[in-house]
Amino acid sequence: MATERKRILVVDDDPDIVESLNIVLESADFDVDTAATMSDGLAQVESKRPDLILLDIMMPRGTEGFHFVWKLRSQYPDSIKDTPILVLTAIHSTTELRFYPDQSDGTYEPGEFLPVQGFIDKPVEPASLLKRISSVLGEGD
Amino acid sequence: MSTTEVDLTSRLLWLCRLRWLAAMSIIVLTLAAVYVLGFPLPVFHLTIVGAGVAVYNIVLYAWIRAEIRRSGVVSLRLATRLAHLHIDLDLGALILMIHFTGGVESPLGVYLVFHMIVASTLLSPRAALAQATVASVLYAAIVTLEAMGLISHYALGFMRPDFYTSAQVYVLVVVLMSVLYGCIYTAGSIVRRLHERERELSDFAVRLEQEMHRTQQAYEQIQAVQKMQVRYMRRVSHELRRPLAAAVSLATVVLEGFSDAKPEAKTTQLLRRVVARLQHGLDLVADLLQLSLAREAPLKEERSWVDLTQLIKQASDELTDHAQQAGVTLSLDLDRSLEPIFAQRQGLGAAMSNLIGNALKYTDSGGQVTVSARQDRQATYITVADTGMGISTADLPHIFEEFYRAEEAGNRDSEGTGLGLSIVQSVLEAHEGRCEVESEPDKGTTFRIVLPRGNTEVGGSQQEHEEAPCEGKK
Repeated sequence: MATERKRILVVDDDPDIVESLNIVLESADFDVDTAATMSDGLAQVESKRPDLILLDIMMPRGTEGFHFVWKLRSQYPDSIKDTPILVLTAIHSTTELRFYPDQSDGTYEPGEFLPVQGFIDKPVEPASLLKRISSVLGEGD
Repeated sequence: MSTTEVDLTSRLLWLCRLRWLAAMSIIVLTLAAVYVLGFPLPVFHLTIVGAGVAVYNIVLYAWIRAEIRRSGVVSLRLATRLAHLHIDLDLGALILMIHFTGGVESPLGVYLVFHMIVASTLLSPRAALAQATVASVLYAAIVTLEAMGLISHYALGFMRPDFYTSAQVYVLVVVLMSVLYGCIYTAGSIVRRLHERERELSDFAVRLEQEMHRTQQAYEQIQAVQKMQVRYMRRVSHELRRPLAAAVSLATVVLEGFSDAKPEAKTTQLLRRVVARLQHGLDLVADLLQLSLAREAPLKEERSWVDLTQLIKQASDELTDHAQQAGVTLSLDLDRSLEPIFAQRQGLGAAMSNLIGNALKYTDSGGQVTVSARQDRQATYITVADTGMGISTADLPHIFEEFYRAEEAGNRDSEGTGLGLSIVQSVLEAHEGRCEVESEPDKGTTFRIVLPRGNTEVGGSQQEHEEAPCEGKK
């Protein structure tokens, strides 16, 4: 491996989801860090400097996922505030809560509303997850 | 009432419009009768009557319009007085016309019938009857005065010249009078019946409107309930989705061979976690079912005599193994003279299992859980006390809410459904009882069930039931 191993931070309060993501990501040669709360997650962004964050929106506990994004993007140093984020969610298919514009709208641009790199439906399908991650990290390089 | 005055006013205006035609006809027909047909009629007198009708019509019409402009509507009192004035003036004009066109010979006598119909629609039955009497008297007066030669008779040549002076002429007078009274009677009863129908219809309209209002309210209530149901379903779906999504994630990892690539992640261990999450989903479904049964219970009223001692012993026996594993002492302190209560056995059993199960779950090894029960004349009291971790004051008001889980509880037992205490509460509400809780963090928690005996026993009178229901119902 000539290239440096990429580091991914998983923020999710469900230990079993974290465990399965961990196994999948480690099998694809990523270094994985995990956090169960928003504050722990933000602390780890600062200390571990991940290349990508997989973030659970954490319903119904509240809107911690959203706050995580807004806080990171607006209050953190330039070196880390633009860390790519993929949001893990089951929300937009089950509630009318919309955090990005209607895709049928012609003016829609992906990620325009919530400043993240994309959304992945839960439960996560490993192959498509790895594909999404590599495309986001490829863009970042 | 307001419909009557509006109605009366519109009928007066209609009469005014009709009168324009009458005034014009009097003049035109007089000229035609005299100059075309050659009848020897007094043109001047008849023209004056026609003009007079036109003049008083202008005055009456202007009066009504002015009144409407001034106060928006003609009051019932004024409208009634105006109606009398209209009718009296018309009768006067008509009598003059009859006199100038031949008295008893005049074909215009027939117009008195028309006049009576108009009077019936505008005046009260009594006033209409008076109108018929006045018309009869005036008609008879003309005939008599003409017969006596006190006023002139304008002969048309329809009758024998000596007929109008003979006593036989009164046959015509009597016939006309009977027609006028008959007309008032018939028209009056038709008008009355029409008014009744109108009143019935307007009453019906009012009732219909009230009914529609009530229907609208019921519809809004149903909508609100439906909205709540949708929200609840969404919540339930989300709660069910969590364990299922986790189970699918873990199982997918195993199925797609990712666990082999990671030696320390034992496939068996992962599968055990899958089963645990699926079990949690199953528990959730079972609790939801139990909750729906408890909610439905007040509607079904399936009660029987329940031996409390047996019920509590059974609930605690089922949890004895669990208590031993947890190292917690589970003891019973039941009053020996507990009488059977009339209750829903299954629901009450589920409530006891939930309370004892909770107490064991949140009590550390070496702790104690005590279930006690006693009765007095008013109620049955069951308490489940533990020496466990307790509930924080912030969480205490919320513990009966569905899916509510205190943070400490979640840390200790990730597999709880958050529905146990909701089940307890629903069961007690079905029995019109209540559940009280006292707790101190790190010292322990005591749940106290109160089941009023008036409600749980068939012997307790129904009145008692009504007077002292669920004091502490949430």
